[in-house]
Amino acid sequence: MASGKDELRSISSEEWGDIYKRLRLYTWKRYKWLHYKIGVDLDDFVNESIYDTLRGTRRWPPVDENGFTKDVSLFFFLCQVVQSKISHFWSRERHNVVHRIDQDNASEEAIESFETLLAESAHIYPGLRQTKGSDSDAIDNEFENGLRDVVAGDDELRRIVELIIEDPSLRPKEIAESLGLANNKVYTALKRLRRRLMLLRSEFKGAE
Amino acid sequence: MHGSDSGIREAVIQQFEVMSIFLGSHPEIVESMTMQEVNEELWELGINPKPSVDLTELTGESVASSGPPNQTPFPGVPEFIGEDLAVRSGSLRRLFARLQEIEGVEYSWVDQICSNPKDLTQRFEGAATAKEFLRKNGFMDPASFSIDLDLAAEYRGAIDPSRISIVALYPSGALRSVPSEVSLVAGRLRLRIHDYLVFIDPDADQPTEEIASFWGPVTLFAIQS
Repeated sequence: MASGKDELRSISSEEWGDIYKRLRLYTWKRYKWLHYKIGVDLDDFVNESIYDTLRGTRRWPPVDENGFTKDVSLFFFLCQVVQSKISHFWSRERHNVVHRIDQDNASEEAIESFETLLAESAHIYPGLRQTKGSDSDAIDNEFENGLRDVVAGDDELRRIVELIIEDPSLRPKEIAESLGLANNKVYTALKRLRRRLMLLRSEFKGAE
Repeated sequence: MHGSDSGIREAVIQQFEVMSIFLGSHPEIVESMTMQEVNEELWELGINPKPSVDLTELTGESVASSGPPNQTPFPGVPEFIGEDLAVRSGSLRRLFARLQEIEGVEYSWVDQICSNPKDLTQRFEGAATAKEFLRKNGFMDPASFSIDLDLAAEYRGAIDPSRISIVALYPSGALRSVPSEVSLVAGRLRLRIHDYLVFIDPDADQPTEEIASFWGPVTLFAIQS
């Protein structure tokens, strides 16, 4: 069986080019507001993640507590490394960032919103339905109702959304397996859901 | 924490925002995309697909450019932007798709496009003020650069450079005309553009954002009146 190092060496230059682009897309799509707000160069996280993995500082493929190799693609692993690095960055910098936003005379709600967005996105899964405080039930209910409204009339999306409401950490492949759908079908449906959510979010904002 | 209808609404909007971010960037979904889709989405984000590091150095491999195939500098581009300028072709389809997204507006001049669009990307240093932005990026003195636009093969009409206008399309969907000199040289339109700020999206506030740097992508195309 080939070692992780051997497997890394066997990756062609063309494959590295594709992985690099995909990793940049993942990183910039998820964390672009971090760049816009505080000027951090997200490519640094991408480059460090690849560098660490190639040098063995981050070991791919990962092993579980029993020493068995986990079946994780290199790309997915690199996404987790980026997420981990940004999470650490956020732990170090959050006080400075919030202080800077405060100095810009942002409203208390805007600071809270930005801080939550940062903290949420620094995780690998969204902390949906984990709101705290006296209004948490009302927020969760309105969120779930909004989600159900947005997929009304689309039976496939409705089934997917019910699973996500139940467990936001489900991976698309797990959703596909649960519903007996092809992976690509779920990927397409999730893209559709995202478009509808963006529209719904705009409508909510417009109604403010 | 919230204690009001508007607070609840704000929290729900934020949940939608978080979910949109996660859905749009899930590793499985990014991994399932074709490289063309990856390139297009990078462009939509205003990011040059060209690696910002030397992949050969990073991976120890002999890595070919992962950028688009025609990233080589083209004639007339001064050394100043040679390293950061990426040229891509085949964007006509995306241009039409973008135009179709803008509802309620008649773009009758679309039929009159007489050359294929060209995508350009320029990297800028961000600054807190417009003046500082101009200074940091070396725009205090007038400067200009040249590019060529290939004529569309399907265009059969006569080309009259005096009737040509150059239009810029930005990621935000903004369109603006570009002051330039246009000449017809060996079946190509040669443009002399008098301002690097053509890269700045008029609907974005990058120049005065306190950010380290950003990419300014723009699609230039020609129309004939």
